[in-house]
Amino acid sequence: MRREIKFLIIASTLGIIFLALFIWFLFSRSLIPSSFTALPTPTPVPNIFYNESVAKKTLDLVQKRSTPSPSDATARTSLLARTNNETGTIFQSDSFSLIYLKTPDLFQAEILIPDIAKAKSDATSWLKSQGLSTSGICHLPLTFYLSQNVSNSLLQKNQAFDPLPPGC
Amino acid sequence: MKQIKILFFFITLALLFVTLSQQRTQAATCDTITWNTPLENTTNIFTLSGTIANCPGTRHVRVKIQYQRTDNSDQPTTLMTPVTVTGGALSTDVPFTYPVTIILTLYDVDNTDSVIVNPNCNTVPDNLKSNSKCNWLYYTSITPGKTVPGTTPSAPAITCNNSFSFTGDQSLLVCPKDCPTLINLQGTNYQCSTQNLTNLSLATADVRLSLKPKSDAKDTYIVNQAYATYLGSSGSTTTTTPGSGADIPPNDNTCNGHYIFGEWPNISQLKNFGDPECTMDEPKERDNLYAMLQQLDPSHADDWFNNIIPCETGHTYSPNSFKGDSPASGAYGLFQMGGSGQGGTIKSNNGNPFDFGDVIWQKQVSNAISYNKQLIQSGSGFHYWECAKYLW
Repeated sequence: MRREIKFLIIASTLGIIFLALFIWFLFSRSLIPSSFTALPTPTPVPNIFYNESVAKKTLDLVQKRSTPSPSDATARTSLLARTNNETGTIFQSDSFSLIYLKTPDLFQAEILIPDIAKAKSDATSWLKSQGLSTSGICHLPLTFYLSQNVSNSLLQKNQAFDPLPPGC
Repeated sequence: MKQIKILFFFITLALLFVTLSQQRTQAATCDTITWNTPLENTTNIFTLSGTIANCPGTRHVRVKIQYQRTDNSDQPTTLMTPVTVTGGALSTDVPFTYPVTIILTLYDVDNTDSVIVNPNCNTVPDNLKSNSKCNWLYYTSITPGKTVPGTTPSAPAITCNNSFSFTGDQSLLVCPKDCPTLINLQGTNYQCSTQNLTNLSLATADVRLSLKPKSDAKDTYIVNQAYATYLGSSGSTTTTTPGSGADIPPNDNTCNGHYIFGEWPNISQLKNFGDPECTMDEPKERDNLYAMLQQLDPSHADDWFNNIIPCETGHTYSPNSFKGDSPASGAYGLFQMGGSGQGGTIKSNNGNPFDFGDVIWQKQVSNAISYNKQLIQSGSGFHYWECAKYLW
């Protein structure tokens, strides 16, 4: 009987030790740090500058290039000849400045006057005078951006802005 | 009999524990290293990836990537590109504009930072062995514009000057110059500008495909950041990098009137923190912005450039943009990220070392993409930017 008690004491001690080690083992495995779990607060953006459907359409025009009509292709080639097919300014007026960016292969027009509709109209009219159709302008592809003055006035007037040319 | 059973139980328990412990210690061999064939996912951007078996979660490992011109005309140079280590998988994107040999080395941080030796070192050329030691784990040669992603590792590179034919049952992923995305030619709906490849069937016809060389004149950006990535003793973790503070102090330069300070939307004491050297006010420099985005995050460069940046900056693309009335009391730069509280900005960093927008524009780009890579790993990519809602 005494021998059994002694054995039980030893066995219990061993059991506790093993249990403690086992718990330590499991716990140490669960301490894997999470590299990043907190969801950040999105940067607040004025609604006038974000439109989901426009964002998707812009990306479509940039990424899904369609084959231009022969006349649009010719007109585009002529435009690029103005900068020797390199990045640079193609044309500038009082209301807009048109540039070509070689790496992404796209055109951008900076709007220089607060009358955005007029600046866009001036830009598309000039491009049409160079032989491009409305579809050809869309698929140049062309997007508009704003001078800082114009952006400031837009924000103050809470006026929405669409970076795509009219009709795209 | 009962005592024997109890004893047997504890002996079994002890053996189980010893076995588990052995797995934890023996796992540190790191002796099975597999690197995948480099893939060129966009022009001159190669993705290297691989796995280290029997190693994750057991050892601190440091990764070094070196490159050297294939013709050995220069010395190996350490690449300052962040390497992502998750569990046992490693990956990184490396940009090159000329043929190079890539050398990857692992160091055992817990063991006096000693090199983990390549177990298959006898199979590699002598000229790639450093000091007669086989102290690297992987090497390969890559040639910008001349490799075809998706081919098997043993497939020869396809040169740009020759036509190439295959009758294949093989899957070839290739993107001619005008294709927006990689296209699997085994499909039957090949929609690209090369019209004679429409609806082809590779099972019945040979195809002759000419590849155009890609430009190898890209700029390479190396932002002044130090990366340290470790496999922790109980899992993986990544030490972050200092993304705050401007290496070039803000100044009052308006870059010939290109930048206006203090007018949007509130009067501010801000200076030119985003472009103090006027390196982003010309078309060529706008082009550089896209090139850097493409280098650091090729799969989303178009999103950043065409949607997120314009939207975040009020469609100005100004690296000096700010919004002082945001809930975070300050959002700055191309990506409207946090402020450091230096140079007139409000301290609005959210605790993440990449959340700094009041730095030079190159660092703004690097910070945003690094931050977003963390978010992607946690399953919430792009959630920092409201202008990227369409990507949530």
